[in-house]
Amino acid sequence: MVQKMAWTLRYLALTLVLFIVGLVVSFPTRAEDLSQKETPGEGGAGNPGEPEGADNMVTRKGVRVEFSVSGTGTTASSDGWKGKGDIPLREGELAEIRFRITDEVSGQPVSPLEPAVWVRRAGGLDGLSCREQIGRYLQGLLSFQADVDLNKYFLLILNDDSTISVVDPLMGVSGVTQLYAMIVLEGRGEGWERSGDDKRLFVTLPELGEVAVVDLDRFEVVAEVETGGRPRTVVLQPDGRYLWVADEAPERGGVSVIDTRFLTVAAHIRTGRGAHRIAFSDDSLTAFVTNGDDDSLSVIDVQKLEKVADLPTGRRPVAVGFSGLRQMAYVASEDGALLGVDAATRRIAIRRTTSPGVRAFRFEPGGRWGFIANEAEDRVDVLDASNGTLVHRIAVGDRPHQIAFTDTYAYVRHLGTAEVTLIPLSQLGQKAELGLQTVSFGSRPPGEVPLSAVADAVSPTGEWTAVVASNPADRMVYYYMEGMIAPMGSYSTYGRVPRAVGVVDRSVRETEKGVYTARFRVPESGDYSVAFLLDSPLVDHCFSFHVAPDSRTTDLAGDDGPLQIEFLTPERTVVAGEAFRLRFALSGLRGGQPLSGLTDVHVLATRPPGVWQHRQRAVALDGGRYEVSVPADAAGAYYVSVAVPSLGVGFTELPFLTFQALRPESPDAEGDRR
Amino acid sequence: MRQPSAPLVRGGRLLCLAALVLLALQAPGDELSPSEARGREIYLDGAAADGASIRALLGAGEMEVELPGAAAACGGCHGHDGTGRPESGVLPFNITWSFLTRSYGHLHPDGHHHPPFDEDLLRSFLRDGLYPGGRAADPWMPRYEISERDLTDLVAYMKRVGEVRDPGLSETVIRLGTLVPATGEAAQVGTVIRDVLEARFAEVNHEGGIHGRRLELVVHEVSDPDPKAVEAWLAAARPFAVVSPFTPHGDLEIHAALSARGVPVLGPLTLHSLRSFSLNRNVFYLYPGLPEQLEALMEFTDRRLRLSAPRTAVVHPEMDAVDDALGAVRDTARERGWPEVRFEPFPVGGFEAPSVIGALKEAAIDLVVFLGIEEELRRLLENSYSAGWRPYVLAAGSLSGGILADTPPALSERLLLAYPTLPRDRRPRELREVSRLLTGRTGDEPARAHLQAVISAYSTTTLLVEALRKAGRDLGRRELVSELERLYRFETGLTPQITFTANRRVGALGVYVVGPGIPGNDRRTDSLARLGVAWVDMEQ
Repeated sequence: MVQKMAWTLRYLALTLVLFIVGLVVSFPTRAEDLSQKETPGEGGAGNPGEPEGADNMVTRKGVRVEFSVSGTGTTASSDGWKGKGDIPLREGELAEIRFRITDEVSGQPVSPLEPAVWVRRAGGLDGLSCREQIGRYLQGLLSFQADVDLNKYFLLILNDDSTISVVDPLMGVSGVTQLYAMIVLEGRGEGWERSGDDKRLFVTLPELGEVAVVDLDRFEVVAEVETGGRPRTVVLQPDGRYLWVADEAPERGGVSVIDTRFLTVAAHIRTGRGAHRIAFSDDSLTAFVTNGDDDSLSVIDVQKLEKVADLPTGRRPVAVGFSGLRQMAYVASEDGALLGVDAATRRIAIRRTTSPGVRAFRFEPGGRWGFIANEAEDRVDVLDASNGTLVHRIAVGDRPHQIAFTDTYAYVRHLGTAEVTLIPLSQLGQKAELGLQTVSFGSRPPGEVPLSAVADAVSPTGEWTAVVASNPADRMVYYYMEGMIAPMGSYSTYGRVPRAVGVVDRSVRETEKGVYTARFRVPESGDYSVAFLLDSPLVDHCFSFHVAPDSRTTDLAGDDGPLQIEFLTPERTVVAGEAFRLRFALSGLRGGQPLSGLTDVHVLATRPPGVWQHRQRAVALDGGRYEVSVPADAAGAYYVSVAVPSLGVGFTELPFLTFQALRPESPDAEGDRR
Repeated sequence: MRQPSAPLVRGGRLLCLAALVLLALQAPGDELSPSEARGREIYLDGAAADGASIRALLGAGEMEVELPGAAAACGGCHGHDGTGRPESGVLPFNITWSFLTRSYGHLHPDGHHHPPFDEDLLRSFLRDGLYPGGRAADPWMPRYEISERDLTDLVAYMKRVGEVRDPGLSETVIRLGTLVPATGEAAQVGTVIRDVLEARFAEVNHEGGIHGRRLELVVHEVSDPDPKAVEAWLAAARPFAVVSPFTPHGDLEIHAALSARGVPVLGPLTLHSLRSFSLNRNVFYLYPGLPEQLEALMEFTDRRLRLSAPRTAVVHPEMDAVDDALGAVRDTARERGWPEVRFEPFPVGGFEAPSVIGALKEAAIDLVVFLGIEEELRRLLENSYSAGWRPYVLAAGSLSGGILADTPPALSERLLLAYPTLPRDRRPRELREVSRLLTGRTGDEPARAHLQAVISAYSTTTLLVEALRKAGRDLGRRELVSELERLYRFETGLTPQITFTANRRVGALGVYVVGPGIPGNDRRTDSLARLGVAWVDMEQ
């Protein structure tokens, strides 16, 4: 609860707009405010085939906002991000919401903007005006939540057990858990990379020689690309065309190059032995690949997908980074050698030496300052790319091994301590002493659990100045806002070991100039209110749209939801250590006919107080029956709930079932049935 | 009979000038062919000087809009270097030749992929707006009605866009210029400036240069303040930027000439008005000029001393150089609702204190703005004291800096001086650096005598180096200017904090007002211990 309060507080602090609108909600003064049509009506905006009415457009403060929403025609197709055009909206499917924002006079697109958008079913708005709705959303009231909040991000946690947890940082699912979804991989993930539009996540599975492709709209694996070998690090080149996968198999060390259009392997380029790190020139035309066991750097011509040079490095190169500012790739080696390779000539132009023990090296996003983490000397050296000199030697904690950046700080994570050192970027290059900070992300040193992945354990959230950091030893993920002395909140990983953490942005964003879009899953048929807020100029308006019932579920739709559940298994106890086999039947609410063959019947089992949970899909049997086995390893009470997203049914909407796992020696083990 | 030939002479000079301009546009090794040069005009301006007729079409069908080419020039969206400067991660695209022709084609953010461009495909794209493969381009990309010749020239330049370097830049060198007086008393100041610049550049080069380039200094000794002589030097020396120029004669004209040629000018040492340069985007000053300093003094008088509508007179030498300052005083008084300002000129070098004072006393003047030099100011104070007349006197410290040190308090009680910087701005570390840097160059004596020049040149190179480091290897004059514009509260260690923006060309926009009568807010740290000091911020 404290955690949740922290989130609510954070949300409260988000924008000035919150404050402003809060005031306006309390004191609507202008006639315009009072007379504004607030309640969404019938006949949705942007539904194909319907004339565009005034409901689709609002002009305020010199800015025109045109609203539309359409289906994407995708529920199961593998390229869910490609649907376009006038496809009808259907419940349970992905919809795309669009706002075209133009200058009222010139008609020119207005850019860049960051609109806030919430979607809520129109029922239950209790005559709230649009401003009142927005005010409540901004207050983060648990009692008034959007069905779809298009202003947030999700955390992705790479676990040690072939899963990726998707965590909603603000809202728990029915207040029980913050776990929003679980992505199941076929093997343990090692490295990952998001596509530039945050629609896909690529995860290397070294044990299988594969790269899993995850659809980030649906949080499901939609494809696996077989690279062979031992894929670990994965990097997308800046123009997004090829995905580069380090192959560390001893017999074929090099890189696999995946064509992101077709998800096929375009080339496998042998570069050398050992661990590889990969960097690109900012024009994407040159790739630089380190070969850890060969003490070399391979330079690859991206257009030809051919190696053009092997340059000798120091002993065991550990990292390569490209400075766009200097147009140079820098390679750091374990023995302290630092080489600068000119992007134009592809030759070594700079040689420097630091102390042996280099573990990591990375440029901050501006490309000016390179950070070299020295594990042996517990130090970070800072390189000025403009002249290749080392300008700072900074004492940090025990065994620094990863570096991440926000706009303001470099975050140095250590293996030997849970403390992370923050180095202020704005003070670099000045002769005064740097004002360092340390923040404890947990209590136990991450190095206690030798499960670090190549993916980052500290990641900026992209919102203002906040990061998330995983600590495998604590089995926790922490949320930290800059300026605080300690993390503001934490997320349980439900017993899993978090090896890396990332963020996926799900907010409305500009997809072409002046056009802001987002995708979401339509919960169910009916009327919706879309609350839209722009902070500068201040524009708030509620649009509306209507979703017709899906023919496949039309006759099921009733006032209380589209389906009903019957638990067929009579037992309510199981011996701890065994699985509880549960059968249940799903049927339409009105007709009562069985609903057979649903492929997305999800079952969530939790054991209070919520520290353990298990998710899986039920297996469809005949006649609308489904079966699932819930592992009940520990004694105690278990709750089982069922959800069917394609019918817009969440975990809280159907009756749930309780069973008890009893200790084997318990005399009640054979009895106590309900 | 010389007169009839005068127009010819003038015409000849113009021709020479035009030739110099052309020379200056083209760096050795970076020459554009005539076709490319014409293409560059079309790229940047949507038109050519010789009258290319280009129309841009936007939208389709009934929504189609036709614009003159100048309203939809390539460079307007894709940038002078063709890299596109995307806003919010969206269009416009990079259109450099190496990008357009990359072998694996292009993947657009919406998932559309098309094969690479070649010359023919680019030509047809510019006319029909269809990507290779036939799909229509983004609606914001115009289609052009353009003649064969214009298109040929444009495409010829598009193959070079982003490659052509600004003058003064090579693979390994950034050439920077400065201007100093050749002779006279001021020449010693010039030598000091030159020494500081040379020493700083040598130091930067010793530390590895900047993004793979060395700094090189070219010095122009100005013997003839005629801007044409400066232009001839520019054409020959081709500096990338000009740093700390000191041209006491002809500031206005020389700065204007440099700026008009697109040469960034950093930290000129000048007493002259900055206001006349306010539209000059390429000149960056450290300190406010005389008019701004007087405005600040008047504001201080109004707000802090609470003089109620003082009767004001300006006592000034008869010279053009103070015109801006006079205008500033007049306008400021009007804005504040003060009585109309009285102007009391005196011949240069001929200040007759008693007669001026007699007139002003009779007119019951409360406030004197004095623009003479130190010795003249002293006479004003002495004579008004003996005449029993006690007005407030406002003056610029840069004209009469030493006066407070040796004037009896009784005389200077109502004197207020404006200083753009004070010793309190100087940190010991940087002072040591300066002194170390000048060891073996400028002697101690000249460095001390011209400390303001040393500080100005040193701080200017600090700003220059910072901006060059931030601008990166892909350097141009635009990049330098844009990085300077991003300096925010930058500490040089020797001046007040420096901030430039797109609309601000004075780095330390404020002045210290110093005077015995000011309730001092920081008496201990100043060598002028008995004086009060107040900072008037002119940002608001």
